[in-house]
Amino acid sequence: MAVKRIDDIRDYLDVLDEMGELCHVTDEVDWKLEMSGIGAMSNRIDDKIPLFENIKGYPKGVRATTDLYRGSHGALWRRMALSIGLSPNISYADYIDEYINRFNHPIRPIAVDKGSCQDVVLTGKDVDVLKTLPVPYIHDGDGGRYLTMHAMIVKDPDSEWVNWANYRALVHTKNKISFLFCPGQQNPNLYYYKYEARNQPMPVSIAIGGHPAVWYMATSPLPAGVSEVDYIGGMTQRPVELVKCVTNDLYVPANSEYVIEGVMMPHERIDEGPFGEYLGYMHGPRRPMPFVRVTAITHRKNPILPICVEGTGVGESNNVCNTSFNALLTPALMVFLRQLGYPVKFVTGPELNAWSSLIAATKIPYPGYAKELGELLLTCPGPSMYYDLTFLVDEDVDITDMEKVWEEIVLKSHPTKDWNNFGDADAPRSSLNIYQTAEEKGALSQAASKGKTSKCWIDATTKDWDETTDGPRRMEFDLLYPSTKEWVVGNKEKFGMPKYQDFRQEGLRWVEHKY
Amino acid sequence: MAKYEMWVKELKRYRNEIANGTPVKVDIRDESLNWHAVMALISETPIKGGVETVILGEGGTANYSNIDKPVYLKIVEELNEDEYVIKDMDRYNKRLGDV
Repeated sequence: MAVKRIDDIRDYLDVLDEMGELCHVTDEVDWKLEMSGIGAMSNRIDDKIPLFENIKGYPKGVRATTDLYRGSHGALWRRMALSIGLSPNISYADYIDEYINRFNHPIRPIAVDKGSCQDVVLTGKDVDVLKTLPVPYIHDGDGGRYLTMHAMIVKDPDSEWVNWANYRALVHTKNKISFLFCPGQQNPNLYYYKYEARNQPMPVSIAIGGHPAVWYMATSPLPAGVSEVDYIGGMTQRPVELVKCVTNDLYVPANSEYVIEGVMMPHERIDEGPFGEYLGYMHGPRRPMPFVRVTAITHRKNPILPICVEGTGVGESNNVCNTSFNALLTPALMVFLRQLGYPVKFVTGPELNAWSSLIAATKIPYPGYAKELGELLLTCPGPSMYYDLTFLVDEDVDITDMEKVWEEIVLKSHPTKDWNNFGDADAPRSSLNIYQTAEEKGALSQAASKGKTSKCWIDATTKDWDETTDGPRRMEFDLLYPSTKEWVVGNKEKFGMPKYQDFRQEGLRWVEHKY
Repeated sequence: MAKYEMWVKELKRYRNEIANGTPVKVDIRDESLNWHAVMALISETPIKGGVETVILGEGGTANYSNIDKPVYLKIVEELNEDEYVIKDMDRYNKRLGDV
């Protein structure tokens, strides 16, 4: 199929529609558990992407869509590839290569005078986030109504560095939105606390929609000092058009669906959480976090609100949070590893729950390499905040096959020699893992206090053997019966075993230890 | 969904005041999940002018004092919306006993 140019999420949804992958929901649905319920079910059974066109309590024309970039079964990267102008039939390896190529060629944005994101401008008493945006109540038990897919844009007070990032956002009232800031994240640690220490308000803009790559880069772990908007340009291979905000000096994508402008005041907090997170569990604690006082809302005509129904892909790896690990974070890590010259063939998260751990298929070129790589992957800034376990396997292992990976782990990692626990550490760690205690999540008195963590890397690669043994050899059928395999296959019908041929093709995966 | 909802932590914090029938400052959310700070009388049994209020725990509804039913809340005063903002972190944590 011809690949259509996509400038924003509307173009993207049009393409899905042409492909028969969009479901227009024209019946009235409630923002309270109905939109997200349909989205969750669609995620679970790998159905079409829903576009809600009649939302209870909102004017005609206001729309919403859930998990619009999620992968389909067996091809997590497919829709993300489509959204950046690649064929949906591209292989994972080719997708990763092209992603890395674009990642390495960022393009600076340009400023324009007008943008459709300011077709409607609401300021002063007209500001009401809950009345203007169909903010969903996503899971029963959430601390309130959450925005989950956006770019929070803030500027360093001492330089031109501008950060675009995605933090879950709890809309408390018409003009107050709190955010979950975790240890190690750039926005709280490099921006907000700098403003707060100077007793200065931090201007904030929240861009929702625009090109799909806006969200992709806002959720990618880019290093400090670079601006995500340049990499959005790289992904789309053209400069992002930005327009100046109405009530502050920040710039946002001109074709955003919604823009929320405001200010984050020093020494102020509002409780945030609990929330059903991407790991598939609802948990807290509910604790004080910085919040934005909204000064303006601007939006396009007939705006569309994208929503991630977090945690509903567990088991199917099928909502955007799980998809994004394998389609965004994996290539970002590959860029990092290739730049450092590590002979890693591939890294990925387990398909069942991508953000829980990391798997790397690698050569072992020299003694001590596994330790070096294992510790590097657990300490590299950004990604390592989200996982505590890293598994190293041989380079010929298909690490998208979790059954195979599990077999490698249980058969090749020695319980005491190959499970390398760092012990407890005061390292930055996302506070979303369910095994963390409240103390490990960080003191409640400060939004992004340093959480504690414990990390472990597991060497499940084939080890060198001493001179007295040959080491283990996988018992494939061909290797076990070299002289009789033709006779066995040739006589299968005589033995009345019609499935024998299929059995033979799958291979016998017996394992024998020769020592 | 009930007209109002409130956090179980606040009920625990004001256990004595609730028992004495003294108004307390609490955060409640309405049917639009819009949060408000209010002064309110809270009771485990129906009170005149009171409305059923669901108790929220971290991750869904929770029981208060092992009673699987809502409390009754009568708003005495709607407070300024900035009363909802936490400005004294040390006092907040000490009060809730979370640290």
